[in-house]
Amino acid sequence: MRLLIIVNDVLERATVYLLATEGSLIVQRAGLLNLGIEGFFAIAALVAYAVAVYTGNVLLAFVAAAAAALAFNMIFTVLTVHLRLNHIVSGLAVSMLGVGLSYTFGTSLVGVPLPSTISLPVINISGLELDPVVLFSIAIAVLLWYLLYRTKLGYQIRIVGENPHVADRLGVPIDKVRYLATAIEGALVGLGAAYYSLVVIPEWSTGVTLGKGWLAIALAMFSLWHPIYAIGGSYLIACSDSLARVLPLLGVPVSPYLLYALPYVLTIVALSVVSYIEIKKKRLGIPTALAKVYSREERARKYT
Amino acid sequence: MSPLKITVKRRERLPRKLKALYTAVAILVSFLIAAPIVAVLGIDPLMFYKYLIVGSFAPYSIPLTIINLIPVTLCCISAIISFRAGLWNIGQDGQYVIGAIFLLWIASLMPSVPPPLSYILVVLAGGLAGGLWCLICGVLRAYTEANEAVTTLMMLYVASSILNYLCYGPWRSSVGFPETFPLPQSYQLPNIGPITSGIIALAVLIFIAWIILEKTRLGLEMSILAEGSRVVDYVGIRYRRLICLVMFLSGFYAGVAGSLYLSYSAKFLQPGFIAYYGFSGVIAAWLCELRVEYSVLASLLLAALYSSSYTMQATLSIPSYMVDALEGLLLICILLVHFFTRYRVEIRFISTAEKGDRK
Repeated sequence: MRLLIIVNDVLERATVYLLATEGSLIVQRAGLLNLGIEGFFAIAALVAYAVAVYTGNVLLAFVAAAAAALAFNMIFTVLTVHLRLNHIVSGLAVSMLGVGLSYTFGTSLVGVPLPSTISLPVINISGLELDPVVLFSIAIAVLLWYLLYRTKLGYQIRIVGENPHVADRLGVPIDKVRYLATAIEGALVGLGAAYYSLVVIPEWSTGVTLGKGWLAIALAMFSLWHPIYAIGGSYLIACSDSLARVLPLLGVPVSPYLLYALPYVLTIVALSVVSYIEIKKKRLGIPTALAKVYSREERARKYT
Repeated sequence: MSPLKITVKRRERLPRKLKALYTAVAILVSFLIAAPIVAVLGIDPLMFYKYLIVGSFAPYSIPLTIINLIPVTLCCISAIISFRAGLWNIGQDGQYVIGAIFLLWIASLMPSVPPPLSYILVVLAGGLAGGLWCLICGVLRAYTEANEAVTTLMMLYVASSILNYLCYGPWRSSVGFPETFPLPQSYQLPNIGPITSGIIALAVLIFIAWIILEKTRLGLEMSILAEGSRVVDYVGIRYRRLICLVMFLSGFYAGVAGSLYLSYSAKFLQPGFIAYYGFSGVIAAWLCELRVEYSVLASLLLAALYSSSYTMQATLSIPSYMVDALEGLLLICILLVHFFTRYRVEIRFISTAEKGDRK
C-alpha cells in the first residue's frame, strides 16, 4: 500500500519533468539553449492556478497555462533569433522577468485553496492511478520521436541545430523552424507547469517552481536529446525527488534538506558521464550549433 | 513577397559617449515599463518611483546601498572573468553561499586568530571555497565538456541545500529561528561610520582583477579562449588548464562576496542568506560591457534596486520578487542596446518597379 503511494507520487512528478524535458529537448535540437524555461514555467504554473481558482475549469487552466508559456517564450525567440543576442544572457533575462512577475502577482493567491471541481479523471489499475496527463506525456515522447526522426520538419530541426549554415544553403527556413520549436517548447512546458501547480502540489506558495525549469534543460542534455531516453531520465530524477520525501518518513536518519540536492547532484553526474561518452564515441546527438548565435552575413561572435 | 524589406546590417563601432547615452535611455525605459506593472498591483506608480530613489539614495539609505554594493560588484567581477573567456559561470550565488559557509567553519575551528590575520583569512577562506566549488564545474567542462552554464546553475541548488541543512541541522543555534551561531568577533570586519571596511577590500580586489584581465598574459589568453578552440590550438595554449584556472578565479570572486558579506553585515547564516546577488552581478557585468573599471558603477544601480526594494516592501508592501522582474526587464533593455549599437536595421518599401529590375 505504502509502495503504491510512492509509485503514484513518482508518476506525477515524472510527468512534470517529462513534459518540460521534451519541450527543452526540441528547442535544443533546433540549436537554442533556452534558460528562460525557468521563467515561463513559473508564469504558466501561476496562470494555471489562477485560472483554476477563478473559473474552476481544469481544461481551461491547462490551455491557458500552455498559451501563456508559449506567448512568454516568444520574448526569448525574438531576442535570440532576430536580434542575434547571446542565448544564455537572454534566457537569464527572460527567466528573471518570468519568476519575478509570477511571484509578484502570485502573492494574492498564497493560501487560496483550489476549488473542488479541479480534478482529473483517473484510471485506476489496482491502485495504480493513471490520469490523462501521465499518458499524454508518454504519448508526446513517442510523437516527438516520430517528428524528429521520421518527418521532414524533424530533419529540418536537426539540421538547424547541427549546422545552420548548411541548413541555410539547403533552403531550410531557419527562423521559422526555430519559432516553431520554441512554440512547441512553450506549450509543453506550460502543460507541465500547470500539472505541477494543479496536481502535484495542489496549492500556491512563493517560490514553489524554482529550479524545476533549469533541471529540465540538464535532463534533456543527459537524455542525449532523444525523446524516448527522456522518459527514462525524467523517471529517474522523479524517483530521487520522491526519495527525498519518503526516506525521512520511513525513519531513515538522513536530513531531508540534503536529499533535496540529490536530483541536482545526480543530474550533474549523469550529464558529465553522458557528455564524456559522447566525445569519446563521437556518436551523434549533441546539436553542434547549440547556443551559438546564427547570422547569415557573418561568423557568430562570442560576446553578442 | 512582402513589399516591406527589413535588413539587419552590422554597423561600425559607435562612439563611447553615444553608447553610454543609449544605455542610460535603456535603464529609463525599463523603469518606465515597470509603471503599468506596479499600477496593476494597485500601487501608485509615482509613489513607486519616489521610493525607488528615496529607498536607495536618501542619506539614511546610502549605507544599505553600500552594503549591497560590495557583494554585487564582486559577483559582477566573477561574471566578467568567466564571460571574458567565453565561459558561462552563472552560478555565482552557489559559490557565494559556499564561501560564507567555509568561512564560518574555519572561524569556528580557530576563533582566536587576531584581527589583521583573521581579515586576510576572511578573503582567502571565502575565495578558496568559492573557487573550488566553481572549479568542479570547470573540471567537468574541461574534461567531459559538460555545459558549464547548466552545471553551475545545478550547483547553486546543491549549495542552497547544504545551507538549509546546516541552518536547520547541526549548526542551528537558536530554538526559534533556523539560524547558525554568529561569526567570532575577531573575524567581523570593523565598521567605520557608514562606510564599511569592506570597501577597502573591494577596492583592492577590483584592482587585482583589472591587472589580471588587462595587464597579464592570462587576460590575453582568456580573450583568445573566447575566440574559439582553433585559435587556442594555433597559439599553443593548454586550454583545459586555462578553463580550470578561469573557473577557479571566477568562483574565487563570488566566494569572497559571500565571506565578506558574512563578515561585515550578516554575521550569521540563515536560509535567507542567498539574496541572489549573483544574478544581479551577471546583469551588472552585461551593463558595464565586461569592463572591470566600470563594474562599480553598473553594480551601484543594481545595489540601489536592492535597497529600495526593502523600503518598498515595508512602505508600499510590494513583494520582494518585484525586484527580479525589474532586473529581468533591465537586462532585456540592456540586451536591446547591445543589438542596436551593433546592428543597423533598415526598413525599405520595395516598389514593384524595383522588383522588376532585380529580375
